Formats: sequence, C-alpha cells, structure tokens
Amino acid sequence: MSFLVRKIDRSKWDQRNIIDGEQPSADAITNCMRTTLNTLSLWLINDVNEREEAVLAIASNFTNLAAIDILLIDRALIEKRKLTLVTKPGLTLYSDFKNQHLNVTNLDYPSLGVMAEVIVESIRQKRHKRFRERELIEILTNAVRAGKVKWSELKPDVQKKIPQN
Amino acid sequence: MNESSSIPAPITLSSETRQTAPPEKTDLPTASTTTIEPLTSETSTLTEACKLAQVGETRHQFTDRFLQLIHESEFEYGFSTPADAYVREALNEYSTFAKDWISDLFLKNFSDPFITCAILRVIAHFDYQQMCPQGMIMAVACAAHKNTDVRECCVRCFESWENPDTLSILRSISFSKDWLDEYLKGVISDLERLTNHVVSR
Repeated sequence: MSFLVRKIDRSKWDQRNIIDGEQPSADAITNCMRTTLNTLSLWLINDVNEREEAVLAIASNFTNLAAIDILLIDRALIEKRKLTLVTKPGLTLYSDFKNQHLNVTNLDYPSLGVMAEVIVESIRQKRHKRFRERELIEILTNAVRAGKVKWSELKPDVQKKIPQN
Repeated sequence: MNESSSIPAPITLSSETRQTAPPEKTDLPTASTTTIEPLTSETSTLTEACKLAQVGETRHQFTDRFLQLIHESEFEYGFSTPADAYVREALNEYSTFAKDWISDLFLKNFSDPFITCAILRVIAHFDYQQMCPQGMIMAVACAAHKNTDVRECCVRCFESWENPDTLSILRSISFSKDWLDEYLKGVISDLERLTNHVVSR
C-alpha cells in the first residue's frame, strides 16, 4: 500500500477537535498547507516501512534540526477525490530519493479544502508520527554512514549535530 | 549598590566593538551609542546616567527590530529565520545584555502566544550555555502556559539544548494533552539515554 508523506505541524491540527468532526483551524491550513505555484509537495513511499526514507528526504534539507510531525496519506484517498498528482523531482540532499516526489497540482480554494479533508481523514486514521530531534539525528547519522547523503552538504547547524564519520 | 553601578560599562565595550564592524553589515542599533561623546568632564553620576540612557535606547532599538523580524518571519520547524541571525549578532555584540532584553520582551509579551512561541523558537536554536540562564527560565515559565503551542515550544527548547542538567526540570512537568505528554516523555527518555551514554564512556 503506497503512501504520500507530508510534514505537518501537529499542534495546529489540534486547535480544533477534528477527530470528532470540527473543521480544522485556519492556522492548520495556512501553516501546513502552504502552496507554491498552486502545488503541494508530497513524498511517495511504497509501504509504511519506507517512512524513514521520506523523513530523511525532508530533514536533510533542514537548516536547523527540530522535531517534526510526519503524516502518511493513503494515496487512494487523494486519487478518490480527483486531486491531480504529478511526479516531479523533489528538493532534497538525498539524491536517490529525489524522484520519489509528487505534487498535488492545480490547487484552488475548493480543492485546497478537499486536500484539507484528506489530511483530516489521515489524522483520524492515526497515520501521523512525531520524529524527535534525537530520532532525526539518528536517521541522518545513519544516512551519512551509508552514503545516502553527504555530510559536507548538510547545513552548518545540522552538521554540528551529525558526526562527520 | 545603586542601579547604575550594576551595569558593567556596556557602552564603552559596545562602542569599541562597533568601531571594528562595518555598520552596513548589520542592522543592530548603532546610532545612539556612537554619536554621544563621553562626558569625561562631567560628574560620574551624569556619565552613568548617560550610559543608562544609551543602554535603554539600544535595548529599545533591539526589541523594536526583533519584534519586527518576528512578525515578518515565516516560522517553520527545521528552518532558521532572519530573527535567528539578528539574535546571533546581538548575542555576539551585547552578550548578557541581549539575553536580558530578550527576557524583558518575553515577559512583556507572555500573554501573546505568537510572540512567546517565536522567542522560544529562536532561543532553541542557540546552545544551552549561550542562552543560560535566561533561556532556561523563559522555557520553564512556558511549561504552565495555557496555550498548547507555547507549552510545546517549551519542550522543544529543552530537547534542542540537550542538556542532561535539565532532566530534573522536565521530570517535574506533565501535560494533560496526551500527544504533548508523550513528546515530553520521549525527550526525557532521549536525555536519559544521553546521560547514560556520557557516564558509560
């Protein structure tokens, strides 16, 4: 079962009781669904065991390490709602994973709302997980050791926390 | 001890430092402290009063600019903002004074979750020793804040600072929100592992 992975800010979706049917807060929409050229960025994984690969793709771009919330969205949830997915290389230092990136495209006011429903549905399905800073350090350290990302390409404040090998 | 004697010649230090730094490189406050001539012929009381006025003016300029940057910045976990760079410069130039100014700003805006969170998010990006003790005091104060985002930022600070000395503080905190309490426990567990790792080495 393939999933699409997106970084969210858990606390913003907690401002309203979305589990029991309340609408998400405006903060959740504006903070976690910021679009660029009417697209929303997602990482594709083939099953839940690849989740950390997506986390690596996201965290390797950080300028500062911080705990993050990762949401797994069942790909079928998006396709069922007729949202358009387009494959496009993603921005990451994990170059082998660059092509595992998709955009939800042509978003407008109503379809952004539909995408918000998808996120709410995924949170209800408890498909979110927080990765603490220590866990990110471990993922990045292992990735550097395995040659998946180059230590020299990490941002200086991230380098400070990751052994060079 | 009177109030003026508790300030260790900040203006002299700042002026000397600033003479070596090109003014266009930073937008830290400079004008008021460089244009006022030393009052060598005046009484020491007047000199101290002048220094106090300069410190006050510099603080005013710092807090104004810092607040402006907070409002202009897009805060996203994992990324630094121009506010971080500004505070870094201020810490380099004014050290303890800058930390005091941030603390003052924090206290004045404690009821504003956005500004309080922004300050915590910025100070979390600095080393524990660099922000100690003001940073730690600010973070602890937020553990009891009624806003969830602020309480989360409190934990994030301690997580980022990674100082096992703060374990006793974190163990004294608990949250009613399950996910936040779980996060806190995870951070405590990470710090305990770090402590054990250091001890066992």
